[in-house]
Amino acid sequence: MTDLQKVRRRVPRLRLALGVLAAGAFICGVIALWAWRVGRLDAIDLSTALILCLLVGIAAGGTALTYTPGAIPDTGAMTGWDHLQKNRIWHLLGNVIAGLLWTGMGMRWATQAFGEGDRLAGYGYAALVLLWLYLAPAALMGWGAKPADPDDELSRAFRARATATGFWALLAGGACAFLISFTAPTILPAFLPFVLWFGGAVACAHFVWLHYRAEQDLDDDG
Amino acid sequence: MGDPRLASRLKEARQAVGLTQAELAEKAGVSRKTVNTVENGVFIPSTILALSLARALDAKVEDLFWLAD
Repeated sequence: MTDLQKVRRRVPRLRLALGVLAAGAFICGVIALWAWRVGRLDAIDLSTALILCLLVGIAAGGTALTYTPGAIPDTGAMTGWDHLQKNRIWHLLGNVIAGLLWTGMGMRWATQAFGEGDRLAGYGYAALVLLWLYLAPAALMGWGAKPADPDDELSRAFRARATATGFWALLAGGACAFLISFTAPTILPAFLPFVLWFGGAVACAHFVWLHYRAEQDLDDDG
Repeated sequence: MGDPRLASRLKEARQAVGLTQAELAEKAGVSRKTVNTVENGVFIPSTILALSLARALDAKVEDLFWLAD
């Protein structure tokens, strides 16, 4: 059984998971609207939350549609792998933007909660920020032990290069945090999550760029 | 990711049997991008991929790839 056939066998499960994720984003959007109506969210938080839910919903819903039967064709100008990989590029970009929004919103809430003396809520928001920062790139780029589904050999090589770039970005962000600690140590707790986001974002962006460039270089005789 | 020491006639071998890049990619279980980058010398295939490509083209791997002098 080829790797692509294995991916096809997992299609119903993937579609269900993505559908649940899209539905979850919709429900979160409705909850945010309700929280705004009862005065628990201000207009800035509401708009950020709605944009975030929209991004997650579109990314998950779009991926779910990709996995509909027959959406991974056997032949044509592009193979099933190409379709899967092309689709993932858009999810990665969506994830990078959503990650930034979520980091900003989560840290705002966490800072607010700590300021009001509610340490439990503060740690909760901070944990949610970290969860997104680690889980989303890990799931999308396959940084776990198991390779990501749409990966073939070239894609794995691209991922290795992108991960190395992300590592250097993380080091640069850490160096900035180190320098900031001498002059403005109080902003470090709010700054560090963005350093983590920056490392993941640079890795994702490099991965997307490598795939994009390889697509542009395709010969006509396909 | 390329290396000038690796020479290849993958493109010629593929065209000789009348396959498109996408068809060869499907037979070898990889993306069309992978086949294209190997043909253009941008990407060095692993031993497994080189053998898969050779099998898909019904050729020997040393007929497709060799070390350039």
